Amino acid sequence: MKIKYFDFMIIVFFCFVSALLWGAKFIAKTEPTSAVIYYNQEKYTYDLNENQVLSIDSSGIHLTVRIEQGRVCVEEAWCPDQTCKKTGWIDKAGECIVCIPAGILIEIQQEKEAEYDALSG
Amino acid sequence: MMRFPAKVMTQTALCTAVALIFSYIESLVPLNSFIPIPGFRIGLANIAVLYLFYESKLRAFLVMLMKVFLSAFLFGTGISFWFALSGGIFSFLAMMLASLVFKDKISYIGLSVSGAVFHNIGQLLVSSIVIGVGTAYTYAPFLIVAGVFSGILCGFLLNLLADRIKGAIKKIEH
Repeated sequence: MKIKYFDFMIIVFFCFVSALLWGAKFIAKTEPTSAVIYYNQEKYTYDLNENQVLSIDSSGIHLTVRIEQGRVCVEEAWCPDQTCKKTGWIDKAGECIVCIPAGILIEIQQEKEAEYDALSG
Repeated sequence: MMRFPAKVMTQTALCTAVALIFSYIESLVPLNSFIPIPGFRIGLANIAVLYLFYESKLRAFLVMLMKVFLSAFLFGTGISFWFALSGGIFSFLAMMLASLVFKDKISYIGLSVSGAVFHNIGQLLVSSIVIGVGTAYTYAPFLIVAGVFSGILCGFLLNLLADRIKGAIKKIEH
């Protein structure tokens, strides 16, 4: 079978949708200030400017997370696939590190309060 | 009673075996060290589903289900089953829709791209339930592009292969 016209249309359509979703992230962009970690159905927020090393246990898997100079990475993970470790450092709002086996999501978020301060100040 | 002759049964079984082999080979290749998108795969197993798609939607769906269940039993972890199942069902529905809307105006590439993109969307939905965040959204653009790439690859392969395989089978039958 040969490639047809509508094949291209489908490809272009999905690329367009992806670009649209990607662009939408930058519309309301401010300085990222907090790292949010989701695990065991709970949400924990940490200050990105405060250097610290966290130990997390979730679903029987142990993770060491390092927060340093406004960025986050997973330093050590006791899981087979090591995907979260390979992601490396993240420092932009919306970026995230995922550990599927442990059910952990680490995400950088911009703090809402900072936005209000900038506007009112 | 549904007729299920030997030829049909053999073909379905062969396609299931091919799908399983492909997904096993994929699990051996550490693709994630080259492409830093967690969970990214080419989805070669979809080739077997797509090959059957034009012959019988029902059998293609059966192969997809069998592949999901068997690979979960053979080399899956508990949660990966739900990812695979939701991805498989989403991708199949998307391919059904694409073939209904565009009929013969698309080749395997269009089918495979829509299948791959919705496979990733289905997985993204499960991951947002599992981790409990709606912010899986920020990850969606990357997964859609990844789906487009892997879809093009699989569709291209099938465009080349499908007619040859069918020709070879005809030769054996006569």
